[in-house]
Amino acid sequence: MFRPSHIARHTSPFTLISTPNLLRRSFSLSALSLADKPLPPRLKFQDADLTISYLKGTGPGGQKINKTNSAVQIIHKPTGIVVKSQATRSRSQNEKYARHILADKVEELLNGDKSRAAIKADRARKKKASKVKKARRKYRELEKGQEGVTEEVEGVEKPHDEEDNNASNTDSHRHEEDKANELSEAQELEQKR
Amino acid sequence: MPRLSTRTILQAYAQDALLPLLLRECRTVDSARSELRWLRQHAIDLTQQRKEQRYRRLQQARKTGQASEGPHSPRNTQPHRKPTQHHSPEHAPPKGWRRTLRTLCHARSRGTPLQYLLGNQPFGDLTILCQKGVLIPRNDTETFTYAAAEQIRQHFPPPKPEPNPASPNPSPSPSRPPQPLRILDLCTGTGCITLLLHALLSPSYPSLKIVGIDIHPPAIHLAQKNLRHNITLGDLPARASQDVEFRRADVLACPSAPTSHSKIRGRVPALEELLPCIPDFCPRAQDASKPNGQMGREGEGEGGAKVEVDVIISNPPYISRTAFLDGTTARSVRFHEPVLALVPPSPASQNGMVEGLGQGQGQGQGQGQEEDVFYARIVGLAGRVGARMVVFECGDYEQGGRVVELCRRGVTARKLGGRWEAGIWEDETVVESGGEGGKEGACMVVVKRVDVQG
Repeated sequence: MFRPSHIARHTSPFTLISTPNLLRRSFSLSALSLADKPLPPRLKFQDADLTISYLKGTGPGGQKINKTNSAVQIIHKPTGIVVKSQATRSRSQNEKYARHILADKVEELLNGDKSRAAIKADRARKKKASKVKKARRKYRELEKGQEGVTEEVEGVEKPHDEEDNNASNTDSHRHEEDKANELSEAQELEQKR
Repeated sequence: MPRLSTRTILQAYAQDALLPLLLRECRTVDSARSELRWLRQHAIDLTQQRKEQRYRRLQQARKTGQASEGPHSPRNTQPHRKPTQHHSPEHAPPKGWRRTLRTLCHARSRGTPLQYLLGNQPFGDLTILCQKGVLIPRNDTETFTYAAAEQIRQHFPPPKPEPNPASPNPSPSPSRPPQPLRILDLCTGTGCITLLLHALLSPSYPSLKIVGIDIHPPAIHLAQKNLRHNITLGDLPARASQDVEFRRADVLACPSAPTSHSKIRGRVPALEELLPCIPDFCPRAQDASKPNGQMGREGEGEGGAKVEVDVIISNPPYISRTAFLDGTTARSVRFHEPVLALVPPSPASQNGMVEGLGQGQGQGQGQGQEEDVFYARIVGLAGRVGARMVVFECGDYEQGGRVVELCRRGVTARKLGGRWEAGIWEDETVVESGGEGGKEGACMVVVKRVDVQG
């Protein structure tokens, strides 16, 4: 139910340090614990239902040419769904990916809203919503703090929050710098052309 | 090669400024985009690695500097700012990765194979390291190796005694182990076929011996490196280090000169000279355990019944001189991959190896067949070592047909004893995306001895 690893993944390390913060926020963890419920298992296919093929261009092959493309295409015969994957350079990896995608698609066709993919998307949406909500709450409180309406309990927290704020500010500054660098580099490139 | 249309180039440029460079080699936006993705990841990794190395070097220099200068000059070691990682690697890529990526893309646009740039190529579940000077494993070869493993499993039924601890009679178990499945991989290159065969067969065969042969020393080194690499990655079982061996030998060299072997040390040994040195391939030599005497007898017997191998598999150089130059061979292959691994030597330059060719095909079609040199030689060898299965990769179906014919003639000429079955393996999993002609790419020829069942 309450697992620090979850929090570590979803909140910045600065907020982790302050325990009062954590305690106060623990009520919102219920959204995170959703992920504890295991997803329904992926569909398993009979090999007879599938046609797995490796796409290959025409023309000379073998030693004469060095292809880097190792796309895999799977056809699910009962439903006629065709899936293609060329995400990686490895054929076996591509096959694995294609199988996953196919499983998701077929299940969506069978189960609709209750399929694995749909549940996953739903959870992601909820998680994001709760994140946004929390962020909004945090900044509302910060604003309140700056206005000087500080309660006794929050007085302890305030410096932490400010630190947090500062840290995130510098972070964003750095990102902006990076972006500027990238941009200038891109422009250089263009000018070269 | 048809010209790239301006529209394609513009379309690619709109997506990424580097794509047109890759397009020169890839020819389609789709594959160029995939390659850019892999190159980008590699560039980031590479830059990160270099950065860490530089940091380590700096730290070391600082340490040694402190040690030599003593405590009275602590300020000298301070001035450069700490080159620590400002950003943690998972968030922001290290600085300078774009420059690396651009260099990689330019190299690729000049035709350097992607695998040489990235340093490896996935082959089945294995990762095969690649380096300049050794042929890159092909997708076709991967398919053929899977099929060959399947054929081997059918032709040599794996031993069934699974309930080994419960087996009451101990008599068959001691007789089994000294009879491993012996596979010889000729012209192994990176060792890809050898290693993948081991990965595929080792679960069903408790006792296995696969030897890869190549003439090129860097290839042998790379193959050994690949063996270690895949064992450490966990893709090959630990027993592979005993089961797999890579040796240097000349497949085409003539073994008929016994003096040359003993006198000249630096020469590449001919295959016939090397095979008796592998204990697993000569069952009777093991109890004799006298290498000198055995060698002498070998020389007299001229490759007698001593050496025994069950399967020979080979992906030899098979491109003819003309096909190498007439445009069917890709630019990148021609300029960047080793010719030694692509084009077999012409018969004229090789004076020793007439034996295989002379009898096999001297009568009929004389010229046009120089690219089949290796097949003729290997078929001759197969008869002498008592192999019961031979698997070849051939350049196209025409060549495959010639090789099948070669084997049939070998049987009638009694070079291959017993009854044999030869044919081109039909692959039903590969889809020709182009549509029209189906019989163009590489093919696999399987030759099986059918009168003796393993």
